[in-house]
Amino acid sequence: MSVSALETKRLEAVLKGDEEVEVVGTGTDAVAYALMLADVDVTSAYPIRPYGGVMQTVARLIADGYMKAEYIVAAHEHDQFEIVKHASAVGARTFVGSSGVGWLLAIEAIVAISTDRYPVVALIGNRALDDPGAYGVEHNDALMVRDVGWLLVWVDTAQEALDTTLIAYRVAEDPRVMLPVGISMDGAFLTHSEHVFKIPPKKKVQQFLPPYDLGNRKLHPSNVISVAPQVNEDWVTEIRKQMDEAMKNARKVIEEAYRDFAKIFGRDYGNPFVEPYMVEDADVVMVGMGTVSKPIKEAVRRLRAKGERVGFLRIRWFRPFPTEDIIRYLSGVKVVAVVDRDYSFGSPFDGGAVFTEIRSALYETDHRPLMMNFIGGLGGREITYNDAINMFNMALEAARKSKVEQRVIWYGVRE
Amino acid sequence: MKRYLGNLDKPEERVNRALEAYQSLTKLREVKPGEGLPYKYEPPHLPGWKDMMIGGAIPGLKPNQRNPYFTGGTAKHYRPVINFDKCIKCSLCWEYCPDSVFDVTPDGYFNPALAYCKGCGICAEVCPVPDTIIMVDEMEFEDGYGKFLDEYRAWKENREAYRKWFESLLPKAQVISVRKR
Repeated sequence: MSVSALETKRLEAVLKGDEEVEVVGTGTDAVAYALMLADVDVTSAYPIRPYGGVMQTVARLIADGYMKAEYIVAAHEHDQFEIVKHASAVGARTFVGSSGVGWLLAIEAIVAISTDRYPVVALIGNRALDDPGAYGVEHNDALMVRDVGWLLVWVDTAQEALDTTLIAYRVAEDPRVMLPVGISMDGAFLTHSEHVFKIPPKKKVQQFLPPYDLGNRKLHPSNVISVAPQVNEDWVTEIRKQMDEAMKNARKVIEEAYRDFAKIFGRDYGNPFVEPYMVEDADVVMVGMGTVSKPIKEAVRRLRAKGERVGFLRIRWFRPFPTEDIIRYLSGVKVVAVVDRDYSFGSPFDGGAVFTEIRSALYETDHRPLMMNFIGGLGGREITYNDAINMFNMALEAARKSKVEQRVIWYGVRE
Repeated sequence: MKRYLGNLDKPEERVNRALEAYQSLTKLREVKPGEGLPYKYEPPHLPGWKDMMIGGAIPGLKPNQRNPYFTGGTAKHYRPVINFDKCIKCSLCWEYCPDSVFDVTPDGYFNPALAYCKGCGICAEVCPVPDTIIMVDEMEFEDGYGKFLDEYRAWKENREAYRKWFESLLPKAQVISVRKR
């Protein structure tokens, strides 16, 4: 399969010209184009849906000569993540990705990537964990690594996927950070749906993204170092502390990256960490991650037209967690309703992971809102516009009564 | 013990091995206070998180650089003894030694700095001349920790005495260059 004449023309325009071009493609296509622009050196692939689309597009871009990269087909996901870890250690810009249980099969290598401090960028096509088998989206796969030093970001359009991939390399490879980034993309809803998006010219990407430089940590015969040693209790606390600092630094680095991105590409995402939607003077704010934003925003628009004071806050960066923004936007709101496309069995109040984290962040505020949690959309079940309206109505009811009758609601579960 | 081993298969071999092991143990003796080498414990320097390379990376040893933290030479069970009379100065021992133990002498021989040697025996394995590098049980020697014999100097001072000493060690050697064990 080779690219069409039209696509050839467009790709040549972005690689050689000064203007961006508009194309139609899936969320994973958008990421692949970003990898082409970022001059990724090594990518290792192992098929699993819904992440797999990016493999196909990258393979095609390499085969047709638009991208120069080592494309290594791994034996399995653990192999796949080990390959990029080692490639990153010798100074290659790397890309990798997986979904659901594939991501978890690689977990040992995934943790070593962050603890060894290699700025790998991974695409997680969010998928429910087996068993029972399901191809659809759930966020538990990516959330499994929330505590081990991976930066985690959720996107909701193909354009944002492309832009965030470029930003991810810039943030990950910053000497103040040097941590891997996991870009989460809702399986099917974004990985496989077609969007119109713009591919920026490579010249601008080169302005935005400096070359990958590991400095004195580059494994090379002329720079003799040992990496990943056995250090036990003498060193482990200090090495974890370094990661803690890097993760805290990431907040500043992310802000800088979005600011420069807006300057160079002319697309301004506003607040990098969260996307507030009609939250001013809102009594009820829904919070969610990923493509659930689409039906919820539509519901917000219609309810606002009817005079209801509702809003929506989409979390982009889950790690580092946007604590200050959560406090700024949600303190003083009457009811905060968190939509979790995940579960955290046995967690505080038996809620979802996002709910629990937001609740924890809001503990410090003077005006704590009432909090509700909708666990929904599991295994790829759709959350529709009507569902969003229903959820808002339940939250508005709680706001009127100033009381939450049921804190955690398994939305749409069949009795 | 003999009676017990005698009931198993290959009784003679078993008895001989047991005797050999016992005899090697009887060479051990108690070290009395004040008799050993002076040693002062110095706690290792543990750097703070701001001073360490990130990700637990550690600057490595450059080629031909010896580990400055390992100077006791206590890790080895066997040590290389060199027959300088036979040495052809091929440099393979120097080339292969993983701890860069061999010093090049002004006349082109290779002299092991035994304080850094871990006793791996690679030098004896790669030496292409028969009976030139041998690995001998550390129990055969009185010198040790920190102050080891300088083999090259001993040879230079008295070649005849060195040759006799070497020949006395040859039957006890565990690894002998070129020869099969």
